[in-house]
Amino acid sequence: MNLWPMVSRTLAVRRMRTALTLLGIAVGMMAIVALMGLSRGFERNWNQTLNARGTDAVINRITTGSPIPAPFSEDVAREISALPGVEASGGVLSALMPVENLPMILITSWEWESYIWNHLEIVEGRMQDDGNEKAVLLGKSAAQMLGKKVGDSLRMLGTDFSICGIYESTSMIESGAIVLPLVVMQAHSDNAGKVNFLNLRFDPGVDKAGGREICDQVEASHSGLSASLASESAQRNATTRAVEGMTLAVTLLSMVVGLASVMNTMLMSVFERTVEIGVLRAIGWKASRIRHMILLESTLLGVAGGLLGVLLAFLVRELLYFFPSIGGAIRIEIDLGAIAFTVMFATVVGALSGLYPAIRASRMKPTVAFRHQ
Amino acid sequence: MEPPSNPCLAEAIAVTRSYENGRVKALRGVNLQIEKGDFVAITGASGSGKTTLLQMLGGLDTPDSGEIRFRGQTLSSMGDLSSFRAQQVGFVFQSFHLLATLSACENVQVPMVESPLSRKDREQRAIQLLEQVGLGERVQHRPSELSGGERQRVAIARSLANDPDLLLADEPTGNLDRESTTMVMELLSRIHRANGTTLVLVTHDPSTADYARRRIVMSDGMVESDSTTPPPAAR
Repeated sequence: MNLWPMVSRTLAVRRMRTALTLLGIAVGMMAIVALMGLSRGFERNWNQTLNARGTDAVINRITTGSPIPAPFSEDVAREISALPGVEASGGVLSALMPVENLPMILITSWEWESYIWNHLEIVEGRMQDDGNEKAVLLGKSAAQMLGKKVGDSLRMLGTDFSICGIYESTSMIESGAIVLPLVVMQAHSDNAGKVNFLNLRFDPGVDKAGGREICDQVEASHSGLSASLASESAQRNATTRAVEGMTLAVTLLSMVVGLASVMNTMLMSVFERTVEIGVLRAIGWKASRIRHMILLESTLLGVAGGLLGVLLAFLVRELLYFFPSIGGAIRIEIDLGAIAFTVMFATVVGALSGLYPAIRASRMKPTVAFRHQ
Repeated sequence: MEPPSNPCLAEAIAVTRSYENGRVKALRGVNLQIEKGDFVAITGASGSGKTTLLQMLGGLDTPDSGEIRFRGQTLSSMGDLSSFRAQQVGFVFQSFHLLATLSACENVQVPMVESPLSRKDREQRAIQLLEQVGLGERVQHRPSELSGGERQRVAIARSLANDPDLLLADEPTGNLDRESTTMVMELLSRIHRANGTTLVLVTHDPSTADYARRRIVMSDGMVESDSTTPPPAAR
């Protein structure tokens, strides 16, 4: 006989309360796992996107909140492209906006004949004939989400575009995007002569340190611009930072909700078991053993809530695929690190929540407990 | 080991205890000696202080003034009384107070958690005690699957888990029918005789008190009378 059967059976007997408490913890933990997965998913997608293009560095205006940075002049882009060590460049103008039935989709335009176009694999239709053609390519996911095929018309940026082709990309971000030539986008979005990203490809001889030097040079000579190596770009991206900020906020919120939920359950449990605790004290249990029992119970709730939260996060990830408008655009990548962090976090929350009830229970005098009867 | 010259196991010396900021005086200077191997019944009307006195003797409560001694040592000098309650005293309650989620066997093992016995030995001892109280066939039953009399017998087995010197029973038959009352009282008497366990029981039922050799009547927080009568076996 040890504490385990007492603790596990106490939780099992009060099924509904245990289930509701677990749900209270699990929802918060699910949100943490999902947001961490979202952040990782975006990071990986962003890296995949730049890798697929063969981009070594990205230049954009320093931005705080918006996932799409403010535009800057193509003249500046040209100056940067002329720097020693830069083999090729490609200006990009992107926007996130509603298009037809979709509340939000990425529209991205690339400098015609830049190296960025090279990685696209057209699976249906054709590329635009030239950099001025008012036609768009749809990523495979975007075509599914929009319910469009080659030859259809697509209304966006206040005008109708024809869909000339559908492409495949290893990048999920690009697969869910609409691609058109830079000049056409500039003309229809009041951004003539502007880009909001400049992709750079370095000379083959430029190593990471050399690339870093070029980035430093860009930032030194153009205040207000941020230059990141492709490998660092995702970390510095506003979207990544926003999701990380949200993750932190949700983590703190989950901690408060988890603490309140488990503490409430444990206080109720201690209150209901006043006589039982009094009997245990009467027959010789030390106060420390009572504390251990209550702490074990709350910690167990934390562990189980954490595990349930992870399971729910996996479930949410799978459910997203039933909503193409969301599932096609974002990916939740749940890795072992996120699972370990969440379960450990939930365990700590459970243990902390049990502290006060455990101390209260252990200080209970048997005679007072019996009077509670 | 108790000195052979001192037959007194537990002793109350001028013990007072009040509740509700002194408004309710439960004990008013009680003096009492319980000899080793004795069988004592404490009787009296409700509120006479008999349960409070029992709790004092068992180290569940502490006096406002006066002192409780066990084998000559004051309980107040022992610090944490958990070990005293676990090793020296066995409690039997009116409402049995078994843990509903545990089997009879596990309930009996609950006081043994601090003992040096191995898990297997504890289990064997619990089974042995349950056999001793006639519940060898009900070892794995939960309290909800047992009758009132059976539950009290499990509680008695639990009280014997650490082979205590002093068995304290607070209205042990208060929730039982006549048949179960007889069975439980005969069981307690048998344990007292066979093991030499000192038994103090609180009861308001004269027929239950008749099992004891010595009867103490409490009234208004004081000992009203203290008499010795031959137990039923001797009558």
